[in-house]
This record gives sequence, structure tokens and C-alpha cells, in this order.
Amino acid sequence: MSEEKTGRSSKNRASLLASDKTLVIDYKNPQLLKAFLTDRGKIVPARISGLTARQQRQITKAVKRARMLALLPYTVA
Amino acid sequence: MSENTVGQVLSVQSRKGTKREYETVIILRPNVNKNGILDLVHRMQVVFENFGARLLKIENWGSRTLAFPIKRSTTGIYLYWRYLGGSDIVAEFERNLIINESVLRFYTVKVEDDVDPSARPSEITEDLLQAVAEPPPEPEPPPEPEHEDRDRDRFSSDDDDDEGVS
Repeated sequence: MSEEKTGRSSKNRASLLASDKTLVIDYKNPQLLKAFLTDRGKIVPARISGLTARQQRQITKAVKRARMLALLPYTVA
Repeated sequence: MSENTVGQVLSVQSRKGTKREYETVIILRPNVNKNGILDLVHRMQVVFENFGARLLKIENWGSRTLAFPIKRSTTGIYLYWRYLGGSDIVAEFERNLIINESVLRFYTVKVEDDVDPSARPSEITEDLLQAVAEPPPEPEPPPEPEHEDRDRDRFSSDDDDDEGVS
């Protein structure tokens, strides 16, 4: 099946986390988490960021924790 | 609850004689001075002692700009605590934080279950406590805008792909 038909390209899988295996998803590292937020502060869906389901769960949890501590915004006006 | 359960992990699933490792991040008002931080730390050390807990690590992340104002404050001093204790330590620790007026917000996370207390010695010394009261000399470097732009471009271009397919 060609990439065009599936609508997904393998290049989407390439992410910050795939390129550096030592990175740990942690709420104490807001600089890393910012890469997975839109410019309005929303969490980017996995189908767009190309994260695995497990990574997306970890990112979601970490972002929500970081928001509690005002390390990341809930919304950006 | 009788007196002898103080400092114990009250869970039938946990192994006997083990403790839990927790971490708490505290945001203090920006006008809290060195003595205020030391006072808080010393008071908490008494709490830890009374509840058979052990402070493993404490860090001062310095004064940071908050992503949104908390109690009308736009900046705050971040303190990071890591400690070992039983089921009751978090409740008591947080009760003391609520009383303290210089604390804007706190958040506790359980790091690990079933920790053998003898395997985790405390790194706390009197010098370290003095260092905690002083904010770190070098603040966090600001994020490089170049990186953020690159990420945003990547996501927006992916958006276009999706629209093309549907």
C-alpha cells in the first residue's frame, strides 16, 4: 500500500523522543513538553505528533501535572 | 488509628518493612527570603522526624515566572523535595504547607512503592540546607525560539496532509 493511500507517512513517526532514546517524559521538564503543545497550549494529538500510544499517555499526564505547577499554561490567549 | 502505625505503609499489597518514595514541588511567594525558606525546611524536618520519614533530597529551582498568576503572584520560588515515608507523611506534610502563608501551591507525586529504607540514605547536610536557601546562581536559560518554530511548522504541515486525504 502506498503512503498516499494510507494517508500516513513514515516520516511522521520521527519525533524528538524517537531521535533521543535517553529522554524521559517528566512533568519537571517543561521545555520538552512544550514541543507537544500547540501555540494555544493544547496537547497535540498523537496522529499529528506521531507518538506511540504509550508515549502519548505519558505526555498527557506530564503536561497536566506541569500545568498544576504553572510550568505550562492551561490556555494561551 | 493507634500510635504504633505512625510511619508505616498501611497497604496490604505493600511488602512489610518498606516505605514509599514521594516527591513534592512547592511554589513559594517571590518575596520569601532566605530565613523564610530555612524556617520552612527546619519545621518540616521536625515533621519528618515525628512521622518516621526521611528527607532524601531538596533542591531550589530558583525564582521562575509562572505560566499564569497564582494568588495574584506572577513569579514564584520553586522548591523540590524528595522523601521516604509511610502512608501518613503526605497528609501531614501538606497540612503543614496549607498552614504556611508563604506557600502558593504544592503538588505531590508518588515516585516508588516498596522501597527498602536502608537502601536510600539521605543526602541532606547542613551545608546543603544553607545552599537551598540561596537561589541557584544561574537561572534556567530561556527557550530557544528557533526550536519552537520548527516544531510548530512540523505540526502545521502534518495538518495540511490530513486535510488533503479527507
